[in-house]
Amino acid sequence: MPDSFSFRRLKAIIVKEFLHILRDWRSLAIAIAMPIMMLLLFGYALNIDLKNIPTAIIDYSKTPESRELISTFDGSPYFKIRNYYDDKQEIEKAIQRREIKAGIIIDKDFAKHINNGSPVHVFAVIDGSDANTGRLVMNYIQALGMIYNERLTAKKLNFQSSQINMKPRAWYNQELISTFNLVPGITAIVMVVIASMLASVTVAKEWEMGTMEQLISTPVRKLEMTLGKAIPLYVIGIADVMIAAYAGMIFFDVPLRGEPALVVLTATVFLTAVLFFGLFLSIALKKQVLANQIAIMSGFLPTLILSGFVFTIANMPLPIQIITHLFPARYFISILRDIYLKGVGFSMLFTHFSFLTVYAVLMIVLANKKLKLRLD
Amino acid sequence: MLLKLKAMLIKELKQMLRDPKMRMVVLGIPTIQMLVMSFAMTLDVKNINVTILDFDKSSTTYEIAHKMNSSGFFKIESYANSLDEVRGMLDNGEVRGAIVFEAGTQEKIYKGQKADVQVIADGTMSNDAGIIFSYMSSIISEYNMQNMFRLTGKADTPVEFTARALYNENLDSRFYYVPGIITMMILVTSILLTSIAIVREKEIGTIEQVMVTPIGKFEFIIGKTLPFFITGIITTTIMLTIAFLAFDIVVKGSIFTLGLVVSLNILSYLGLALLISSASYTQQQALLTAFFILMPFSLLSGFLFPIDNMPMPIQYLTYLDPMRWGFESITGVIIKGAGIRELSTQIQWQIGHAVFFLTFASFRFRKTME
Amino acid sequence: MSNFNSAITAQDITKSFGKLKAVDKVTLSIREGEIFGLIGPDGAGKTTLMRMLAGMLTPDSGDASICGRSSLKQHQQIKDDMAYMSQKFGLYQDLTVYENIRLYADLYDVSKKNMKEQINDLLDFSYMRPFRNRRAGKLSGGMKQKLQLICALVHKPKVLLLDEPTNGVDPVSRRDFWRILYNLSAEGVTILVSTAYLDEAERCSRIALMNNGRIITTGTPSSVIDESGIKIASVKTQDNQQNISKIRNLFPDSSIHIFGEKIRINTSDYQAASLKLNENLDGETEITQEKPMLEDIFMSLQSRSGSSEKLLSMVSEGIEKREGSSVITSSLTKRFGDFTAVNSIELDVKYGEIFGFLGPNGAGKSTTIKMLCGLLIPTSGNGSVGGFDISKNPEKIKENIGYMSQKFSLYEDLKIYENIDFYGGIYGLSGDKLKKRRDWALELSGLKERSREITANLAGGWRQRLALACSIIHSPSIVFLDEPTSGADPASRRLFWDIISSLAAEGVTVFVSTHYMEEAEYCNRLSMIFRGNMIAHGTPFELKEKYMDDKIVNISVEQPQTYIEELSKMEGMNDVALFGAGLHARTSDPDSVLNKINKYFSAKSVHADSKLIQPSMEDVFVSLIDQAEVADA
Repeated sequence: MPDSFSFRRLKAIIVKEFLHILRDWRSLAIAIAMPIMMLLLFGYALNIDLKNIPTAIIDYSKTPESRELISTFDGSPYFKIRNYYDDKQEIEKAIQRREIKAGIIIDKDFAKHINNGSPVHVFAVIDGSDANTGRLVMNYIQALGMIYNERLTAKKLNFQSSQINMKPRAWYNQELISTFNLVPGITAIVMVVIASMLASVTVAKEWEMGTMEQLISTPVRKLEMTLGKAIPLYVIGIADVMIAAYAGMIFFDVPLRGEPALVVLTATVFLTAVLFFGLFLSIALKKQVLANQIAIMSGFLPTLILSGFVFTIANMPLPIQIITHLFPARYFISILRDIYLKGVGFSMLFTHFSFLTVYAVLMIVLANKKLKLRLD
Repeated sequence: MLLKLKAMLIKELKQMLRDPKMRMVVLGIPTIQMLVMSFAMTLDVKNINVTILDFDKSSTTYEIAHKMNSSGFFKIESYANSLDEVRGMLDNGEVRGAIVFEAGTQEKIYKGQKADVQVIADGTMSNDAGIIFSYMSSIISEYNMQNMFRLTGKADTPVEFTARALYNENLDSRFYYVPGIITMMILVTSILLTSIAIVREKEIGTIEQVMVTPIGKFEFIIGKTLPFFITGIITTTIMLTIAFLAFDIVVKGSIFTLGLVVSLNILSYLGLALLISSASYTQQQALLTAFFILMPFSLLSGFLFPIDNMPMPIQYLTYLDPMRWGFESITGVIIKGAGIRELSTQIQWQIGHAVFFLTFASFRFRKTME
Repeated sequence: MSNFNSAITAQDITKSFGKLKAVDKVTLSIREGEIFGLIGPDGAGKTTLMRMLAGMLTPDSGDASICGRSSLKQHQQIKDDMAYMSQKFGLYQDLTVYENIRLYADLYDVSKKNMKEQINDLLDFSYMRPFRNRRAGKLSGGMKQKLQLICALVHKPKVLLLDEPTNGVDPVSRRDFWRILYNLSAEGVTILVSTAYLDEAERCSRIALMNNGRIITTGTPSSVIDESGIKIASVKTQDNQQNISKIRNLFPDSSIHIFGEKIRINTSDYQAASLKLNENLDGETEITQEKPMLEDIFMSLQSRSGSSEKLLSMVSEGIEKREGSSVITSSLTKRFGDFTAVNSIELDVKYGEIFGFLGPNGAGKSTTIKMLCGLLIPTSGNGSVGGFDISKNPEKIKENIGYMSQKFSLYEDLKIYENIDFYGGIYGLSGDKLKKRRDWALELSGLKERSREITANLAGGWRQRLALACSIIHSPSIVFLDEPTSGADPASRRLFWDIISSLAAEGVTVFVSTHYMEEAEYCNRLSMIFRGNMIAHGTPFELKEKYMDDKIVNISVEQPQTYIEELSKMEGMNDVALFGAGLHARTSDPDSVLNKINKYFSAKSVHADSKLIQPSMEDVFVSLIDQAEVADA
């Protein structure tokens, strides 16, 4: 049967693609080094946790009461007192110089007013240039202010402080270690970029170099071609998943609570989706440059920002939340996070997993439909 | 000299902008991404779905729950009956937190004793969990204070904390993220497009014919750089216009200063990209290398991840990141209205980067074929 | 059906691209075991026809078949019986020879049982075994083509479709390639081959001449010539360069060119033409009627209009006349690692000279030219071009030269006029001057009407013309052309050489490398280079006299390939090889060998016509390469 799928032809294409990859050692080295670099970058260098906000104080009051307030701030994990100033101007200048993010000004009559029960104001100046951080800083100041008030009241009224005592428990990540989140996110980014980027050149390159004309004069079938090109890249992708997982464990003690097999399974479906998306671009655009640019542009930033890796999807406005469904990385990250930290089983992941599968199947169909092994 | 340069420029621009798909990549995609991303980037946590496991079922626990719900930070999604149920809800991500009131909470409070309330947060997003704890503790403090007044019959005016945000009174996050995304887009488009500029001609073979013409090395380099510089400026202008139309973002500082810092920024990227291009053998290699560089540049720039939070050695490393200076100066002009004097450090570094990369790239580029 | 044993057929097959009718109702029937040649000018529709036959392109109407199966409806099934070889090198440069072959063996599902032996046989058969593990990208042009042929042969196809397989391949490799084709044909493989080399066309059992998408005539090469009705008047004058323009004025509608030492005039009435020539030419002239060649028929397809006269007179515009030596080198050497690409080359070329650079693929021709153009820095030795040192002052050189590289190197994504403007611009032309030169370049490349098309649409020969026009747009006084005519059709090639002659007549040095040995005859002086060494140099005449000790016997016979082996074993015979439609035998003892040959054929009662002839440039080339190879070994 001439129309049947041939494993031999598939294997031939796979071998050829592997040889291309091995001969371009520089690209291969980058593909392998990428997850490690990302992990180190995120693990050591980047920290989105808002802790130790650099803060300056102007204490005109200089009383035990004002010192109590200052120690409330300094004692919390959120603020770190960097400087004491005497002049309001200096706070603004320091903010402009990006030395501090907040400045707290305690009035001269602070203690006096507290003790005679008249209204007291504490003013804070915060850097609003980064509004998100600014809002958090503002909320933290108010939260700490509330705690200070409670202590003050308790002291005045001779109560033991905090009748209701909050016992915080962070499940899945007791110590709130942000690096635990890294492995899923980084795996996704590396995967999206490497896979769709590498895949996006493969077919276009053959058209541009003229090798396609020779290749399609043979009995090779579409599926043999697309699979043959996807499988070697899949191997690199899976290697990247493993590297990221092991490096995460070794460098940052990221726990893997669920089934490792489930990680591989999810990564496989995800990689299929991304690889065939790249192939689709390559097939549809027929130009390396164009396919590649679109692959990177639609890969890197959306995966970083719209996937839930850095910014929680639940916090986004609804229309944007809907847009995030377009990016399979969203499901991948969420599934991986659940497997890693929550240790949940397959039944819990079913919905997200189905989305991912649908996406992958869609991409396979699209890529194969678009591929024409003819010169028309 | 100018003639040769002009010929080079016309050719490059035509090649770049002839294909409508390419025009889309150069001008369209950055704009669309800016629009979508700007909305998506928020660290603000509100309407956090929580569940309540109330073994006390008293007016006290009810009051605390009510306080949470009306704070705007939390949204009570459901009432659970058992800890297992709570776990299930957290496991499948239905809620991001849970409050557990033990039996006898009200009784202890009335007796003036201490009562523990367990606040459970989903720790997978550690940052969100931290925020949940801090909001929760302020709600509980407020309750405690009011409770003390109620028990003693006394009242007191609490200290009021008023914060004023500089540069962005309403703390509207777009004022930060839109200019930030613009600097990011400048980085991505200039580096990616330019990094294949020379290697592409190498791969196709057209470079041989050009190198045998009397076109000077600098004319060639400038001819390769300037079109991307021009499209970079155009793209930036389009993005700024859209930022104004869609988000009401106005450049606070002078347009001249903005033009200066944007230009310097683009130039340093272009120099680097040309360096990559002349050191690569295939387009794929060039793009991978470009991406490999692009990632730390964007992540260490201080845009998404504050530099203050980085370890000291890394903070020093960020001095070498051109996007750091681009980001600080461009957002500085747009948001803070900073002038050349305020941005002198940034501008000096930018000039340094631009000169270094461009010189190195032209040094590296040879008009022979080895 | 009458075409019971037709291996390839086409019925009224048509294909248009936009307004352009690329193939227009072509009907064709090729018998099993035939070597069928497809010739025609660039853009005639040869490639489009082949692609449709191979089932890779859907025709607008009509159908084709391979071994009785429809190319349209059964395009997957025909692939097992057929192999197609694309014009562009279609293999993977980063894979080795063996890896490429293995890939194709697997894709065609070649029986694994004796696949290894079979691949080795193919490698041996094509003399490629020593290069089994070399990367395809590192092979010379000739070897690349052979490799591509091996890949096409690995599944033993019944039909071979070859699209200009010997483009840019040197004569030695081309002979080798054709040896393989003859052997395949003897085994019953049907071969359809398109070619720009008319000596190859003469080797085919039948040929079809295509023009503007139609087949004009089909038949054996000699019947095509006979039926054309073309007559050739050949004139030998004392100063051909001077007389040719006079003759052109006399016969404005005929194709006229210099061939060797004679001027050939394409005419339908020899008597009238010879009378006219006698009346109008002064001095000693010798007019004879000659047998037309395929090339003459080719030329008649595109009779030249008056404008090309103007064109040739425009060629030299703005060129600064200079005298003396333009290119001088002494012990010019280039090494890449331990590989010596060019070894101690000595050159002294004058202004106004056409200097030919001959040698097989990979001999070091391009490397030498690149050093002279300032693209490569010599490892040792020195040279000067236009008075500037090639190591110290390459940028100065670049202002004074024109260079056309072997690979097509204009921007395919720019329009035709934009490419011209770009090169005009970087050579410092502007305003009216640029406009004038642009018009000139469009005229020269014959692309005036198509100037707003995207360059990627141009077929082979047109690209070459455009590239030439771009490389001399600034009227340089020294021009380097690296295989400028490879892949161009005979008419374009002849136009090229007319342009080259006109340039030289105005004092320009034209330094040209070529694979077409008949083109070497147009050069004033030649150098032959082999494995980086210069092995011969002199005028064409000197080369033939000085370097050829052997004599050449030309044998005209049907099925020449079948006698090569036996003839080679004759005593006193140094070499027997295909030449045009017949054979050339090289011997140091011509009288006795001629005798033996005649005896051999009469014993077989085969009609053969053998005579001693003056060696052609190809004979000289092959013999010199042979000697050099023996010396190396």
